[in-house]
Amino acid sequence: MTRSLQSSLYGELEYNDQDVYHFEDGVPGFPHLREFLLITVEESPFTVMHAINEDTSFFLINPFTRYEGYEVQIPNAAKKQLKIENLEDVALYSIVVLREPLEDSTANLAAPVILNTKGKLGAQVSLDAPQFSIRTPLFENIPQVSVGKEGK
Amino acid sequence: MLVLRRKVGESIMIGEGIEIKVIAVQGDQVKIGIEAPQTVSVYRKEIYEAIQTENLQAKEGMEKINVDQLKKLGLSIAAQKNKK
Repeated sequence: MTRSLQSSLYGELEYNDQDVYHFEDGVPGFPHLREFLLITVEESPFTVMHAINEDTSFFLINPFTRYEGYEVQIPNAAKKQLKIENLEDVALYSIVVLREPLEDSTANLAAPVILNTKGKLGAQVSLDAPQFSIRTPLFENIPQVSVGKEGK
Repeated sequence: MLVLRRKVGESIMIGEGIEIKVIAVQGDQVKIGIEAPQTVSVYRKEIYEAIQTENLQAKEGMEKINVDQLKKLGLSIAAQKNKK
């Protein structure tokens, strides 16, 4: 069934029930948010994770293409929780914290969002891997983008 | 908060599936063993709190940006990657 929601980012956002990802435990800090849409940002390989129940969204990047050498061993508990049977059905993203100034933005490599794209299940999983920082710098150089409330 | 006294080797059960056992005590450190169903996530609290804090900041950061800026940001990250 096609539904729609109001998003400050996208205005009216239409989606189908079968596109909704279910996060059994919510995400840390937002335990009440259990349903999300994953929206690819046009003209870029990036993704927005948008809650269904309230106007909350997160910016996600694919850490494997951004950070050479990033490797993840998905914990067994996560595999079980997400009912992962086939690694082809797994997508993994890092949540980005956009900071001011923007060059201070970081990505959370220590606790990625892991998705079962077939079963439409998701969870944010702490990897317990001390080599990956929860605040990994997103940029090496200063990007040509300005971020501010006035730009909204 | 429920407070219980336990000796080394003794356990606490939470419900039927979770057991918390005191393995060793040395000075101000306690070594704890946790038996829990595989679907239950167990975190050190400070790590969980750090993830919470990052997520709250991630949401706040998104409230200050619009889709065009996100696209530009995505492109600038991609461009930077290609330069390497």
